[in-house]
Amino acid sequence: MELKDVAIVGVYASQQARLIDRAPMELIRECVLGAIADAGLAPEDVDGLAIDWPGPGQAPGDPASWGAQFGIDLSWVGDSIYNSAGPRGLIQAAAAVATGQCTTAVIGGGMCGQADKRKFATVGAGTTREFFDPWGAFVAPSFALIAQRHMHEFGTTAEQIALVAATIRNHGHVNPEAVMFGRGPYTVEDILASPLIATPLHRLEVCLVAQGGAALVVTTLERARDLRQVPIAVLGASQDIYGAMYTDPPLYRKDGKIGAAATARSLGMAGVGVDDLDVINFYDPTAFEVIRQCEMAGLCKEGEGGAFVESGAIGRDGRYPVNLDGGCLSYSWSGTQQMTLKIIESVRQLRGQAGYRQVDGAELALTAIGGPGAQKYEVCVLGRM
Amino acid sequence: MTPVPGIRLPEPSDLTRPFWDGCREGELRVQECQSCRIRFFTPLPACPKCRGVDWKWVVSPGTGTLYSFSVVHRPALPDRATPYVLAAIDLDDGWTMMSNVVTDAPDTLRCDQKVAVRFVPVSDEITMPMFAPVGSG
Repeated sequence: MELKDVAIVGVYASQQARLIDRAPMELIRECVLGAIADAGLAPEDVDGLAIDWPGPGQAPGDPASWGAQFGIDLSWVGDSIYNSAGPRGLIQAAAAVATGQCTTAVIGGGMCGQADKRKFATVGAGTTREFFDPWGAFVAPSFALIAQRHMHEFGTTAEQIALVAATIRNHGHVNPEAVMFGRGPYTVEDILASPLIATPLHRLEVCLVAQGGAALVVTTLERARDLRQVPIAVLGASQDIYGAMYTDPPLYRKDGKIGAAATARSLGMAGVGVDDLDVINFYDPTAFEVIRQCEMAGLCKEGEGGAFVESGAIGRDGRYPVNLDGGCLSYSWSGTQQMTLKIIESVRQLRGQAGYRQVDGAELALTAIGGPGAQKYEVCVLGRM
Repeated sequence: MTPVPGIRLPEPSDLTRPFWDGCREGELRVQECQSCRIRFFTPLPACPKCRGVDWKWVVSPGTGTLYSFSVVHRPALPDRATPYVLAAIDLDDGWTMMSNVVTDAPDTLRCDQKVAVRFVPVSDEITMPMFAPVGSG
C-alpha cells in the first residue's frame, strides 16, 4: 500500500475562540468523537491514534490513555504533540495505515481554559533557547527577519504584505466559525494603520492567539469507499526540516525557500503540477509568509510574489484561492490543532461541503504549515476520489 | 547590578560557558574547527561540516554586517523596554548570530550596513553581545 491508498474519512473542528472556558479533556473528547462520527464509524473501529490526553485520568501526555477510554486495544500510537496535528500528523497516521500498523487512525487534540488552569501540550516551548530568547526573539520577529530581507532584495512593499492580510482577514470576516467573524472588512490602509508588532509587520499582519480543537480520521481508501463521506485521498505529502525550531536566526538566503523541496515531492507523489491545484491552504503566521509560499511553491517566480498577490490571484475568485476560511490571521490559531484546521478546510472544499465559500468543482487541494521561522515545512496534496 | 528587566537570561551549559565568559571579559568567542577551519554558531558538540570534535574557542573581531533585522514594538516579555532591534548579524570572519542592534535611530537601519560588537552587561553573571552601527556614538 502507498500513502495515496489512504484517505481522510472524518473531520471535526470545534468552536474556535479567544477563550473557551471548558476542561481541555472535554473539548478534545468532543473533537475525537465528532471526527469518528463524521466518518460514520464508532470508537471501537479505531486501532491507531495520536491524540492529546491532558488528563485527568490515565497518564497525562500519553496518547495510549485513549485505549482505556475507548475500551479498545491499539496497534499504533504516535506522540501527542507533532504527530497529533497537521500534515505531519497526517503523514504519520497515513503511513501507519499504509504499512498495516493499524487500519483506522485518529489524530487530534485541543487547548482551552482559563490561563491559570490551562493544561495542554506545548509546542516546544517551556525551555529557554539560549541564543534566541535573551535577544527578545519570538515567532513574529523571527518571521519578520525573512520578510525584511525579502523587501530589501526584491522591493516587496508594505502595501503588498498588507494586501495579503486584508484578503485573508476578509475571508475570515465572512466565516461564521472564525474568531474574527464580522470584524472587517479591511482595506490595505486599515492593515497599515494597525500598530507595528515587529517591523515590517503590523498587528493585523500576524496571526491570532485563540483556543479550540480539531481531529481527523484516516483509513484505507478501500474501506473509505464504504463509509459516509466522499473519500479524500492523501495523494502526496512530505516535509522539509532544516533544524530545531526557534534556535538559530532564520536567514532568507538559507531558509527562504523552505518548503520548495517538500512541495515538489508532494506534487510529484500526486502526479500533478501546481497548475492543477484548485484550493490552497498556506500557513499564515504572518501575511508575508503567503507571498513567500506563492514563490517557493512555484505559483510565481522568486521576488514576484508581491505583484502576484496584487493581481488578485489568492482571492476568493482568483486563480489560486488561498485560506478561504480566514486562516491563522482570522479563523483561528489554537496551539497545535490549528495545523489540523488547515487540512479540514481542504477536506471540506474537496467534499463540496464548504458552503458559501465552496470553490466550484474543487478536486485537488494543497495544505501546508511551517516556514522559515520554524525551520520546518509540512505539506500535503489531497484529492477527491 | 540589578538585572536589566525583560531579558530572559541564558543558562550557560558546559558547552556554552566559554562563550558567555568571553562576553564578560570583552571577547566575542566562537567555535573553530581545527580540521576544516570553519567557524560555527550556535554552539555544537561537533563541527557541522566534518563532524569532528577537534574544535576550539577562538576570538572573533566582532565586526560584521546587518543581514536582516526587525524593530520590535511588542516585546517577548512585557517589561522589556521597546522598541528594541532583533537582528541577524553576519560576522566578517564567516559566521552568523542572532543579536540586538543598539541604536537611538532604529528607523534608519538598513540591511547590509556595517556593525560592530558592543558588550552589554545585563546581570552580574551575564553580559550580552549586541551590535551597533559602525560610526555611531
